[in-house]
Amino acid sequence: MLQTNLLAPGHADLVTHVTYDFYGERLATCSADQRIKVFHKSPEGTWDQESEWKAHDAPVLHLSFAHPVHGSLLASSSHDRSIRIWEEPSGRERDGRWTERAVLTGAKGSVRQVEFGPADSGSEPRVAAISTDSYLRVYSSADPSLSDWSLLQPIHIPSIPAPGSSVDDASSAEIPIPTSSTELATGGWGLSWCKERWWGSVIAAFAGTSPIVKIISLPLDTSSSPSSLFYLTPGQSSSNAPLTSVSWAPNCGRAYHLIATGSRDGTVRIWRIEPPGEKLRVGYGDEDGEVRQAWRGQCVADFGKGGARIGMVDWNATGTTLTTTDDEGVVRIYKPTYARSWKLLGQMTAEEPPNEEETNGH
Amino acid sequence: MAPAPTGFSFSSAPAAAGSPFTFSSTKQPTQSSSGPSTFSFGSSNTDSPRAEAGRSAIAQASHSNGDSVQADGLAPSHGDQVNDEDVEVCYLQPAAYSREEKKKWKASGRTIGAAVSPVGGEVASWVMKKASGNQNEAPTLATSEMDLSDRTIFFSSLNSLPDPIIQLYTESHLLFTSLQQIVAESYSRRLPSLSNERMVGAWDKRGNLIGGAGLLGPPDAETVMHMRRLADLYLDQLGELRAGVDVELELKAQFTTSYNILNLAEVLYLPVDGKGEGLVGEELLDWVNDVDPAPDNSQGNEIMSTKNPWDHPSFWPYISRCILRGFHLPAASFLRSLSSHAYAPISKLAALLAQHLSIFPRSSDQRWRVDLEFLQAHKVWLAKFRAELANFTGGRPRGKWFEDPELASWESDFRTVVELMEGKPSRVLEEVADWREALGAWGVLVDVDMRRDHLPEVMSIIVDKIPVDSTLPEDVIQSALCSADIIKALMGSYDLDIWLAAHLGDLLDKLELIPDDEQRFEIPLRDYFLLEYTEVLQNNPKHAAFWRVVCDYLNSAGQEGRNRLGSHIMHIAINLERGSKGKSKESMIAADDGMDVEGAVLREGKEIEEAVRLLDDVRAACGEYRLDEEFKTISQILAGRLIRKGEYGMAASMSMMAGDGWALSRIAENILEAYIIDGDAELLRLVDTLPPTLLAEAPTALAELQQIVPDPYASTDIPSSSALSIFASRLTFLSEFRDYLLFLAQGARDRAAAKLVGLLTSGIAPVGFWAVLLVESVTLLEDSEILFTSNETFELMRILEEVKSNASFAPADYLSQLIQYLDRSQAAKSQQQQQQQQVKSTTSKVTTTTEDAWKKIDEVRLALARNLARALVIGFDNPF
Repeated sequence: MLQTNLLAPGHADLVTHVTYDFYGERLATCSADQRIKVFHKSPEGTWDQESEWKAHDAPVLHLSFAHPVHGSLLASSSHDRSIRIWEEPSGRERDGRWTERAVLTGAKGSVRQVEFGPADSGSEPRVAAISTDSYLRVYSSADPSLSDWSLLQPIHIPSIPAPGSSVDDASSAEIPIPTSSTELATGGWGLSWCKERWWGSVIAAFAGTSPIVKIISLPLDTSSSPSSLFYLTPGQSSSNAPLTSVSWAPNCGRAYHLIATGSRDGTVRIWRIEPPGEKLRVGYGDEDGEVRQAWRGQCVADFGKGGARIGMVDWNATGTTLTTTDDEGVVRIYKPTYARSWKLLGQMTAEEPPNEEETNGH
Repeated sequence: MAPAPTGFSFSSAPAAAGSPFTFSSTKQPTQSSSGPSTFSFGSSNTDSPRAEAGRSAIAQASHSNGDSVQADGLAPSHGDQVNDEDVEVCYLQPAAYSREEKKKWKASGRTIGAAVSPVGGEVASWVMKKASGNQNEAPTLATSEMDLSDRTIFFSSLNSLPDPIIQLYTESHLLFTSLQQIVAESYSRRLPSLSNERMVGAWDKRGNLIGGAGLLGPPDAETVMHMRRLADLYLDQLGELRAGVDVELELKAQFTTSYNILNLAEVLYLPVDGKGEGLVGEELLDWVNDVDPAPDNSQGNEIMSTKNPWDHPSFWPYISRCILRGFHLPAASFLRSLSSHAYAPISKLAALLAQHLSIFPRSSDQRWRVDLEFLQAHKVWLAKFRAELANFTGGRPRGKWFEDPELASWESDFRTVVELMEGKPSRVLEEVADWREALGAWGVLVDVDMRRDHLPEVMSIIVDKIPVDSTLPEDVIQSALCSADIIKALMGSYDLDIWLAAHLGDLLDKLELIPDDEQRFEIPLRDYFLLEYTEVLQNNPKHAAFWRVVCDYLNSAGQEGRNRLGSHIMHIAINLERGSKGKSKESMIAADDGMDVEGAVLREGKEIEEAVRLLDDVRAACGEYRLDEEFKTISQILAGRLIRKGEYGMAASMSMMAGDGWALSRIAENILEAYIIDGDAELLRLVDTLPPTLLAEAPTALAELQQIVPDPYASTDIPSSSALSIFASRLTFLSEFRDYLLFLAQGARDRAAAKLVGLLTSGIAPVGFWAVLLVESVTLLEDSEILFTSNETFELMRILEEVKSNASFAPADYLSQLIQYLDRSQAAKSQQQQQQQQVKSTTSKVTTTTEDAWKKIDEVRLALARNLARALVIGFDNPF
């Protein structure tokens, strides 16, 4: 581990989120100052500001770049309960700020996270967001100018029927209980797309104080309803603390997927889940040769319980290293060993290095 | 103790063909997947990966490891804090707080956030506010002041590669790829039926593709010899780097360690003859002398320069060391110094030993035509030596060689030399400094017939007496290689140097020396190491320079590598657009203080040139690795970006590469749009940027497509061909419309008129553009010459009626382009008027309404009617 660079983004308040584009060449930052800034990596490796603008009427919470196949799009979410879609200016517009293509409303609370769906050339871009009202909302745009976004059926995460259960109980789905103040204080809301389109549009999401991540399959159109595929339910001996973050690893064609979660009590879990198989892709353990119909999975790592709240978990582009942050101010990077256990590779902190401290002390 | 790896046999075993040390072409029985696992990492308990994974491995499938459940917030530290301490910590600068102030910093409501870059292993982190008690509200800090660290985004990288490492990684890449090719070619040579495919493959019973290599057994002698040559080149590179002047000491040590290990692996597993059936003693001894040179020359000089060298305390040990290290002539000359010793029997015995030592047969000697000749010679020498020694001692018993009892210690010194020369195992093991020296001496003194197959047995004898120091990773790896414990050697290398593990693993895997263990692990060890190596190449600040190298390694790293290859190549940034480096042209010029505008433009041109070259390379790579889908997507993305920037020429080339007809027709539509908004000059400029072939070939392509009679039985190809015809017709229209504008500009009004009719009647004009073309015709219709025949006029009238009737239902589709067109022409007109009248009035914005458009359509109708009348009259008056 080594620090390579630094950047003063020049926001008037603390930065709330930073995200890279698909190529790692661009960086978008947002802040409590309601503004978004976009930086570009110069050939010399420095980050040059490209553009900045006021984006929301409240602190901006989260950003997400779309896959480039869908164009140069950025989504932002905010305490102002909206999601906004921004498009990079073409050469003609002189003032460099990104063009607002849509304001997506409907959330009854702060929109905690927003994320564009994976690449799907030939199909419209999709963006998912989750807010403190515990609804997962997915919008898509069939309009080439991207100004018209339609909301697929909003999904109330706590009341989505369990995997395999019959048609949802309409009454519970339609009258959502407003989020309580305890939940607002101790809960968490997050989502992460499955990065492959092979199994359709699939999202992992959690809401409120529940420690369960729900894997949800989205319908192709607004007429059908979403269904849950699998629940990531922590084991008996594991922590039941509310979750703070979830990240679905890019699977790079592997037969299984990895999903990482972070919890309020410092627990980091890594789940290994397997999609329903084609016959040939089923693991060697399946002697019967039957094609498995359902998703299945298990927790392959569970550590850190009793530590500081995990801020976020995130995978690299090959799904081979996991980065976590916690409220102790430590960034940690983990990777699997050949024997499939997880190893701490390195950590970062903004604390003063100890030797300096010593020389200061004496 | 780890279970001994199977896969090699001792010399006595008849199944020598299965030995890793001999390379017979017989198929080596691979372990069945149901067999017991022979895989071990050398840990005491294979069921406990925790123990194996070492200091910082944290978790395995099972949950909590005995941590008591603690209430939220009460636990002062992480359950894994102990582990954390062993792990490298990167302290970000400028620091946010000192150790004492940490509590205060946390209490102020701050925490840290991080984002992971999809490339380069970069992590961005920043100071942020902790979530508040009500997550619908923005959290606040205890104090509103922002520190320097609050205003900073910190960037860090997983790996940083010093220049010598970069040099090694870059240069060894070509050797690695040649190695893959050579071995692949050898397979196809041996299995001609499969030689069509570059990578030989075969299908297993489950229908999974497995390497054809496994079916064929280890490579033949010729291939092994080729492999040895490449291993030599790896060694040359390491050797060069460790000798480099400006290489840091730590790196030098690392290169030396890798050199020694790789060199040993070459001696053992990549024999010169490719078969490995010959004697190995001398080669091993050379290796030992290279790794750990002894004895010290200067010490020898020092001893010899004393008056009576034998009085020097190191005299005898020095001779022993010389004999053990195979320096028999120096040892003999040391012994000869005793000729001046006063006591005759001593000088006599010394002369005897010196004489025999100097003729000690060595297998490396060129005069032996076959091994047997040498072995015979050694046998004869030993017999003669023993006979003459017996002659000297005259049957005197041990301890009585010299009559003077005071010379007993002389006797024991002489006896050591004698026993070393005779190759007495216990004496050799007593005299050597470590296991390596013992191994070196073994094949020269003890077992002169030592072959590669004997090594595991020899090693077990040696380490039984002189254990390998397990705290020295280098020694552990080397001894494991000698004991044919390949897994142990590779795992050790992995901890030491990932380059070594990847390249050594690849060599040993090609020799089929790595036992399978698909039960416990998903991917073969070789592939795993190669993937780990590519991760290092990918996750460092200079990753962009390695993109092609990474491709080759991923392509060679099994299915998982192939899977990652697609994602890797998609993430390569190609900046084809102008001004894409984060600065608009204006700011670039401003930054240059206006003094180097040309320089900025030149630099940009250079950057684009580089981007085009990169694109060519990426295209070539996609071709080589059969990543057609990926390249299509890459082209599609690039075309989309270029279209947005209005760079239609390059966008069109990209769309052609992607075979993306829709993008091409979008480009054509955008250019027409530009005509409607900005006028003919803009259209002509944009059309000129398109690849000439594109426009030239479009009409032919369209004609061909139109000639294809739809086959009622063929249903599959229709969507793609109709997409094609759309883009072909759009481009054809564009090129014809350009011709029309050019004719008009040149004053060839008759030809322009004919073109216009052609455009409208051939059906290639987009419907939205019909009204515009009709309005364009007005000036031609009103020309003093009659440019349209009555038939042509009828045609135009028919189209006009169609526009009118359709526009009443869908005015947006049929009239919107006309309205924009009228807007532009009126704006231009009023601007002209203003310029003529020199009036500085505020430009009243001209807006055309649908009514205006209808009015214009009526004008067209009138012009058509007038022209029809004229054309008919001319027709009647026509003398013919």
